[in-house]
Amino acid sequence: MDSRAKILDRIRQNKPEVDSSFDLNQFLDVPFDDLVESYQASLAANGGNSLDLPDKGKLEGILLEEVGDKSFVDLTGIIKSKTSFNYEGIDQPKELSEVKILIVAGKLGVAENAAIWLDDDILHEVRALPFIVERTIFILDKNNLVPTMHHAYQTLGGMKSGFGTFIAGPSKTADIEQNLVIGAHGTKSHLVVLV
Amino acid sequence: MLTHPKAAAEFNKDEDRVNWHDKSLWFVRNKRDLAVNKIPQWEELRETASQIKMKVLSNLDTYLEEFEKNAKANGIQVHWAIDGDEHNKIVKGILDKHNVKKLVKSKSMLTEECHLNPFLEKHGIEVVDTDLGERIVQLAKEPPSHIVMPAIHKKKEEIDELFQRTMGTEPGNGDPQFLTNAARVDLREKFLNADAALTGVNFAIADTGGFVVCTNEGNADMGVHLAPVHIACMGMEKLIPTMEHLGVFLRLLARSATGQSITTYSSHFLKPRKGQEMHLVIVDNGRTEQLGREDFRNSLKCIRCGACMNTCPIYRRSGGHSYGSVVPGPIGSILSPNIDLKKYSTLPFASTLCGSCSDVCPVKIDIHSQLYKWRQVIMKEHPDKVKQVAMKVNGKVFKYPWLYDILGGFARTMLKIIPRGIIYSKLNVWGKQRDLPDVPESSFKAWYKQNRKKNG
Amino acid sequence: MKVGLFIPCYIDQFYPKVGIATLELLEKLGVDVSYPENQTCCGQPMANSGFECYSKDSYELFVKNFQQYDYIVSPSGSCVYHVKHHFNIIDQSKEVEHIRNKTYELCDFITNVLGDPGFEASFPKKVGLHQSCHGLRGLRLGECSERVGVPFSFAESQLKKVKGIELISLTRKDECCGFGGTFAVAEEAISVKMGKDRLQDHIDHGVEVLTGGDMSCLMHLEGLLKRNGQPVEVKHIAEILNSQC
Repeated sequence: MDSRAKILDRIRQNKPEVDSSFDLNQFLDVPFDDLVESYQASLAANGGNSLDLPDKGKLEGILLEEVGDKSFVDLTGIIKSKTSFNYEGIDQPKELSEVKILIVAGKLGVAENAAIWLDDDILHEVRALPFIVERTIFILDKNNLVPTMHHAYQTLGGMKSGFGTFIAGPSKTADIEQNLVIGAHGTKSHLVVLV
Repeated sequence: MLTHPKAAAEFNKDEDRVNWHDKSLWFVRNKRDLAVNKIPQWEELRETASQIKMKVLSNLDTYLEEFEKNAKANGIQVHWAIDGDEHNKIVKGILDKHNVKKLVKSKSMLTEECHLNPFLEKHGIEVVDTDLGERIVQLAKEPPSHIVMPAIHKKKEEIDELFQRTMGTEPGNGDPQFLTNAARVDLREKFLNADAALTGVNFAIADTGGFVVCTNEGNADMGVHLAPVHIACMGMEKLIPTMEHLGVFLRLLARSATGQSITTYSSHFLKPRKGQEMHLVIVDNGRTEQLGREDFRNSLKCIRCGACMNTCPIYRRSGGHSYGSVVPGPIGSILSPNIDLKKYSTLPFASTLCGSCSDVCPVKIDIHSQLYKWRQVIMKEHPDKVKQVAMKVNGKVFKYPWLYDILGGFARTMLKIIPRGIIYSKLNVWGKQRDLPDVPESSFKAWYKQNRKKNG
Repeated sequence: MKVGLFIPCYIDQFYPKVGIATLELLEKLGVDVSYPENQTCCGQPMANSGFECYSKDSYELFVKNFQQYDYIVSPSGSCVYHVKHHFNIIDQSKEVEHIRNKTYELCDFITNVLGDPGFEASFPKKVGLHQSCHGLRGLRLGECSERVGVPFSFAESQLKKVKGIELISLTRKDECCGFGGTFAVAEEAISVKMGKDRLQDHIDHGVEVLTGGDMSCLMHLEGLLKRNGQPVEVKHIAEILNSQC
């Protein structure tokens, strides 16, 4: 008997016969505060910054200012007057190491914890991008804000591509005597532009 | 043999350090309290998570089969390991196939359990732990003392000195920003040049065949998205039935662990990226045995948040290393006896059964009840002979009211007449740092007989 | 309603004043209470040490002594917890079930069975309440700080009726004192450290009298106070609730 068979066999012999019942709907139908305000408060608590920008016309200008003369990847196509780093031409993901800024549109944002969902489709399968850069700028449509993770999963309706991630702020650690340090191995700063 | 009482007594010799360690962990417990009180349905979430996990344990075989089928269909190679040794051999087999000399690793308590690092290093593979806390203890050649904050027992000045010694950094006065930056620079080079990346699994989803890895640092993602090979190792109990259940668990996990609303990164893996090989190792290593223990199988609901450690007044004042087990603290004390009853026999007794652990557990494991039950098992299999005799005698004394009355009176009389120096001799452990109670004039029973007993 | 008074073994032997205060208080509240004299111990010390096999005789004796009463009341959360939760290893006869259902800790009984009556008591001191763990988390005699819920405490609600009392808030309102039965001896270093930390919290907040529902916790804390010459008095909650006006 191989290990797989042994393990499954042991489980069948040892597993309990217990009835369980639970209802996830109780978490969906709940009152919630203003989503934009909650989102911004959660983001601040996570060490991220937000910018409320109802006028989309100003967006390219702001992004150009952010980028300056640093190497960047813009997955949104908003920046027209500058060329972003050509991620399609690389051989190995580690060549992305020189990119400093990523601009990306999040699929949805979660008010209770500021998490934004990105997946392979949004990232063009260049999964390393949101982690390897120093700064990520998310463009998030306010209409795509949901109150909680339950609502997020309901909206996502499953995995539509091979990878997805919730990113809730800049990378951080408190492993040195519980002192919070922003910027561990991922980004050092994180801006969400709410449009 | 290391016992918890001996290790704890040693730890308590430095009271300042105990105070520092206790306050650091209480600080995390406080952050947890603030975070959970923002969720009015917190107790309902816990109950739901507990029910979901019970459903998984009751159907673990079918969920595992479903998970494997879906994972394979998505291009993930699935392996099964009956124990730590087999797990290590499987991992090495994959690494050898790809000529891996440099491996980066994100946090996985399972791989600690299997002692993977020393095994791979023995075979000439460089293993770099990339979680900052794990990296610190790796450089210090120590085991982690906490499952979420591996270096919580180390002061920043000690870490500074460690980095100077092992990484050649300049003295930084223990400045956390400086030290973190030094680690970032050092580990970035490791990420960029790794031949393979290994991660743990926080949650595996049966109906998609995918799995989730949560970090604050981004180290798991930095490893796997750059390396050509991703190996994910999981305890078989880490399954949940469907993706929507993640809503429950991701809301509970970070709040319980550190008081954050969510970890910075919660990455959902379904398929390997183009050109990458993805492997998943499902590990038993004693879990099927625990599953068969009616009183203790609930411990398999654990999502490894560490909240029980942060709240445990004994853990805070004795430190993770005093348990001598891979997983310390309250959850460690109910998991470890399953692995080696004799070696870990003092762990269920390293508790006052205060119940705080059970009340912070996000999946409602009845930890304090299991500690009590393990005590019965341990005293049956490996009785402490002295305690056994004392308790047997107690049992007899309490059976006969007349005997209890006589002995009680005798004890009180003795305490009144024996000189203090003898009462508080070295044999009197209670009396080392505490006084015994004053001896009253009579027992309550005698008073009652005198003052209340109705005659006739 | 006939109430049987259950006095834990160590209160019987070392703190009869707590038994007396409990009895007098119940009598003042109009309860028909008597004390079955053949009681000894609830069996907790052996059971918590891993030898519940040696406790069965104590359980049987307890049931024999108390089965005739409508309610059994005790000034001890941990002993009541033990009766309610750990008498499950003997045959669950009707009598055993009755005992397990009807055994109450003192403040719980006053609040929930007696209908929370008023009473005359006076204790003009700064009082720190130690929330013993078996009572608090085991019997749910109050909401503990770990859980999200509406705060309540049977002990506090009774203490608030006492004239002149000033209840002092602590930094850690329900951390364990470190007694834990044989733990106090088996893990002496930690037990003492936990006790010292608890006491420092009370002392830092100006507590004059430390109270609680479990004399075992208080015995451990008082032992430390006396050894270290610290000027805090210790009184079981029954003594405060029974204090004269």
